[in-house]
Amino acid sequence: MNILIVEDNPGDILLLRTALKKSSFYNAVVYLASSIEQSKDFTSSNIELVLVDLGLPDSDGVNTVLAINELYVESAVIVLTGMQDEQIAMHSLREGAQNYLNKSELSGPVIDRAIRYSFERNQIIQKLRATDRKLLQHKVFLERAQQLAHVGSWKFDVESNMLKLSTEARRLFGLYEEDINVHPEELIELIHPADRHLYEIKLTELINTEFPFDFIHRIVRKDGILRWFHTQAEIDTINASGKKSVVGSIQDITETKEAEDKIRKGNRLYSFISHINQTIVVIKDSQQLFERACNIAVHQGKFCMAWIGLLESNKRTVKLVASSQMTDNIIKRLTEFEYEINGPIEKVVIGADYHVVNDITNEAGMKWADFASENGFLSCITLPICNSKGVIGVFSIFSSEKHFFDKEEVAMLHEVSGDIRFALTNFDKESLRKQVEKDLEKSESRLREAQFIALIGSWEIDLKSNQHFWSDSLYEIFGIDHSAPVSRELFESMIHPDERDACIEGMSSAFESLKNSSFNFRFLKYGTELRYGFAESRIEFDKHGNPVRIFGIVKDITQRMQAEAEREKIVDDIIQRNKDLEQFAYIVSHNLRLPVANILGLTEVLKNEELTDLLKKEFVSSIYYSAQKLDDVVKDLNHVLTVRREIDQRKEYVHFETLVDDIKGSISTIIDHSGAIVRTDFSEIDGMLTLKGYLYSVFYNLISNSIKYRNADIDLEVKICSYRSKGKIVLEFTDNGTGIDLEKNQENIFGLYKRFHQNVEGKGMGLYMVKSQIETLGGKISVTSKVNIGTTFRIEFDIPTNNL
Amino acid sequence: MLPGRFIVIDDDPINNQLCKFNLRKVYPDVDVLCFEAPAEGLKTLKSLTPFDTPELYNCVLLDINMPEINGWDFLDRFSLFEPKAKEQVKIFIVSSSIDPIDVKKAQDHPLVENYLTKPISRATFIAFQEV
Repeated sequence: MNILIVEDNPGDILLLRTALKKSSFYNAVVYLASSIEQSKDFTSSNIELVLVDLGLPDSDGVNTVLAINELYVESAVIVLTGMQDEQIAMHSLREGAQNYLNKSELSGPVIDRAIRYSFERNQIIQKLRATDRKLLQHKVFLERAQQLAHVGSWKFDVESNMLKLSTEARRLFGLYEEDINVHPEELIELIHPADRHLYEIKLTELINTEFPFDFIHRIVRKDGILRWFHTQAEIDTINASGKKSVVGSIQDITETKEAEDKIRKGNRLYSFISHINQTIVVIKDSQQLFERACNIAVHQGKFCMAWIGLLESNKRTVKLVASSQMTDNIIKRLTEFEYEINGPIEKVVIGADYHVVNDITNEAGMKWADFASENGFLSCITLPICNSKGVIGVFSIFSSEKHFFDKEEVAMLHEVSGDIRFALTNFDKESLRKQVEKDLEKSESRLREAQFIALIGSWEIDLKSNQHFWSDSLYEIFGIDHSAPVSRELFESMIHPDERDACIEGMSSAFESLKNSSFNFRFLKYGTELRYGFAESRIEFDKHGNPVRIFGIVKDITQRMQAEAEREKIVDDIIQRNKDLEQFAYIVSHNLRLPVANILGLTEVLKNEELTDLLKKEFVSSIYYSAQKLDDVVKDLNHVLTVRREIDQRKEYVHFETLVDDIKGSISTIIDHSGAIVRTDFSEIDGMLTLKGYLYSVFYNLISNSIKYRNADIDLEVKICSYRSKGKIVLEFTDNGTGIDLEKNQENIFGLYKRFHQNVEGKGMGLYMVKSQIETLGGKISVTSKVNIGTTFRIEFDIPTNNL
Repeated sequence: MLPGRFIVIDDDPINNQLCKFNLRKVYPDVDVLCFEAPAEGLKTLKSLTPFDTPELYNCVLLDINMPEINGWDFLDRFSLFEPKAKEQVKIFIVSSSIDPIDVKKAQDHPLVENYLTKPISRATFIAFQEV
């Protein structure tokens, strides 16, 4: 052990040495210094204990302790005192000495105990210091985290009335870096005047009753910018000192708030329009419509007043017909009035378009501007009310905010005005149609009309007379001549041959068991055009329960089926595109970034370092290599993109056998070199109508993958076969190669730039291209594999049909 | 505190070349080992006898996107090391990815000191002393 004695009195030194000799530290190495200045010489001597006299030539009292502590941070310190120095000794302990020794009591056992005790204390202190350092580190981390989340924190000491802000909190409030301590009043000043009072009340409540503080409010930063904060605060319960303090966290939620406002606004607009639309459907009378429109403007549109007035023909007067939230004094004024020359109403009437007054108070030449602003109307829009003949009135809507009618509001209100016009026009048409309908005596003709529009045909079989009847529209649906004699067989002959037998069986069993039935079927309109149909039949019984009549409908649902198929295709397409986009984002952040990072790093070295020619050459060639890799990635991306675009090429019938022979020929050296055997069995299906280039690429990639990842210990055998399963063409590629650990790589196997083998050259493009091309051809690929046993790829294609 | 040894694990030889060069410049006295195959890096790391001086440690610069054993697999296997062996290893993830998901995943990993984006600047290399 190394001990340093800092003492200027030779007598005391002797006393100490003697005592040490008699203690269990008798073999310690003792260094001597007679001043603080001298004691500096031993800082690198691994001193574990310093015995220091407080009165030294160059230092005195507690200052000595401080000086030694600074020099020997990790060492234990014992202060040597005289008889009367008890007070100073206690003070020294507070300042960092671990123990003190009274010089007049020095003896072996005393010094022994003192040293042991000081070591123990020192260990504790060192541990505490380490914790302190960690705490500091945590604080830095916390600050960084706060900055990221836009969360700041503050601490308010109630007694000293001081407020401490975290770095991020200062930033959020727009305060300067140095404003760590802020007067609470200063902070309150920053709270938005409208929220300030409540803020203070809540804060007082927290301090007095510990009621949690949770408040969303605005602040106005010193630079005048308004922000929304979410402040939460509570009494600091872990405060050991017992002083009452409040800790708060603030989060800048301005962006969230703005987004919410936007959604709220969107909801409001949507609600307005949808209510108007619902009203139009239900209401058949213009007066009712006007009243409802005004009410909806106020209730759903949250406007402060709305009214509708109709123009008196040949006069410049407007007559009030409906209003909402209109006070009596305004009603008196507006019941019937002459509109101003060049005023908003005249503009609307002449232009048949809306007119906005963004600031009524300051609108020049508006006669009732003062009156309006007195009532809290600060902006307004006037919309034309039109029917089929033109403008017949105006719809005025008022807001309590200036400049309220922005682009979205106007667009929505424009829509509303269009909806009202549509309704009014329809009221006119409706009355006309009613007139016409009265002239139509037979309801049958109306039904016929409807049937033709809906592509519904009906039929009937009278079981007593065995008479068949078809509606005109049924002939129309099947595309056959009306003169054809009606029979069950005629109906059956219309059904597509592929499903005719199944349908006949279904119908017969339904007729025999006297049950209602319905089914979907395909048929050939005009005998050629493939269409989809839906048939439903019911049986009518007499009062004795005997069947008297079978009747039913046939509906042409081709359009619906097509729309559904199209929709499915669009959805699939969108999903695929989204996957592609994700894939590209991944490529950009990984594969594209890698060579770029390399080039950046290499050029940084080249720019800043003096290099030998050899090194320079090496670095330049690395840059070149990286640039090439970058080029490769860009080319690959281009390649991938083009695949999705090339579907327009012409399809041809491709023989699988020929395709495999072609590939074998083009890579014969590789096949020979690897000793691979490729066996094929295309006896069940020998080929298909497809894009030859794609199928070639698929076969090529799968065969060459098998060769690349063959098992070095056994001869490679690749089996390719084709067969038909559940209406699909299936192609299977099986090998006995190294296989892929699917449990680990299932998700990635067809991903771009994914590789699974370290020791084989590969870019990770092959399987991605295979999948893209198969999907572009409308097929699907799946894989099963076992490590060291082999891999099977299974491809499924729909059997192509000419229609649909 | 200065590391006793740098171990760079990345399947990209250019990155290894760059790291080696930069580390040698900044820390002429510290060993730098580079591995293109993560398995070998792992094996070496396991075989290294602990430093006599407890403050010294192995500083591992680990790539994520590698075939067979990627950076996460590496960390999984490393986590099974004996506690004593782990104490003297600090792992930094070094990746070209700037995808925030990768960054977050690395920073949240208990065995990872930090996430460094390629290329590692000279300033970052110098900063290892302060870790």
